[in-house]
Amino acid sequence: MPELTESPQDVSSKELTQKFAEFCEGLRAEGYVKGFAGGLNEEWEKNDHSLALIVSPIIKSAQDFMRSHFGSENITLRYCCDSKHRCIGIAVMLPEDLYLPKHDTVFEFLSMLEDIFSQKIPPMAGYFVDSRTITFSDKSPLDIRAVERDYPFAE
Amino acid sequence: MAGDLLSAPPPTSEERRQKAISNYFWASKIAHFPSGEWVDAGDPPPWDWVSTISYYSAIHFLLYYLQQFNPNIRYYRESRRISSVDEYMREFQCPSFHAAYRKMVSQNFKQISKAWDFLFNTADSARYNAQIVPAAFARQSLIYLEDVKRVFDKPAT
Repeated sequence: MPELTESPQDVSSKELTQKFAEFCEGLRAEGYVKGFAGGLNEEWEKNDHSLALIVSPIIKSAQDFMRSHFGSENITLRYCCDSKHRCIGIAVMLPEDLYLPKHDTVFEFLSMLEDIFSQKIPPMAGYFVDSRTITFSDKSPLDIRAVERDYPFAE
Repeated sequence: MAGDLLSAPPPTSEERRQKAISNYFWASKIAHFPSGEWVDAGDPPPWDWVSTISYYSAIHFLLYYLQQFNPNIRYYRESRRISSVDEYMREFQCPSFHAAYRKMVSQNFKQISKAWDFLFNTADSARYNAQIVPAAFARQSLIYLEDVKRVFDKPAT
């Protein structure tokens, strides 16, 4: 995995976007190589669990990056794969008080992740990738079973 | 009757717009309930409904715009003239309505893509938690709905 040496700091949105884009480029190559090194062949995409072999390390690293950037361990990414319908869903769970002031940045990150999956990993070309951000707080705790049912895979 | 509903003609673009305006009106109106005469002391705040209605108003404004103007809509490197979300889903193999709205807006109406994302996420979060949306989220939803309305609520030419 690319090194995660970033600490929370004030950088411009443009710099941050660039930084995340570069990070994702590394993940793209790594996810691609690892997926095929893991013994996948052209039939891989017909199986959700094979698909997860490629998606999972990228999700894990994106989660690490977001935790590092926002300075919170309270951010979790989960996902679902549907190889039959060629789509991937990503869910980010994070605290309300973090999301409200930072939702622009969260959106930027997730848009890039979507583009990486659906456009830059050749075997997944054409996959429809969608993401959502689910917020919570002490006063509005998550129904985690519902999230896990809809998004069964974690890193 | 279900049969009547199923055979009903699709709404006109003006009917779409009126639906959007109606939702827009009620989102704003309900937002002022807590200080109004309709609310009793101890009633729960209506912020989750303000956020949800705001999002659905935004959807109807988008649908109105598609139906009225049949714009050229891009999906990554492809583009088509699109007049409904069903067309978009069919053309680009999109699995769900809300995913289609979000993707369509993020790739074609960048000036409101973050606003749309916030509206969707705030309305959607209620599905996964037993929450009442915080007032700040409802307030921000109304502000973003104004942005969405500004883009899509164009007069018919």
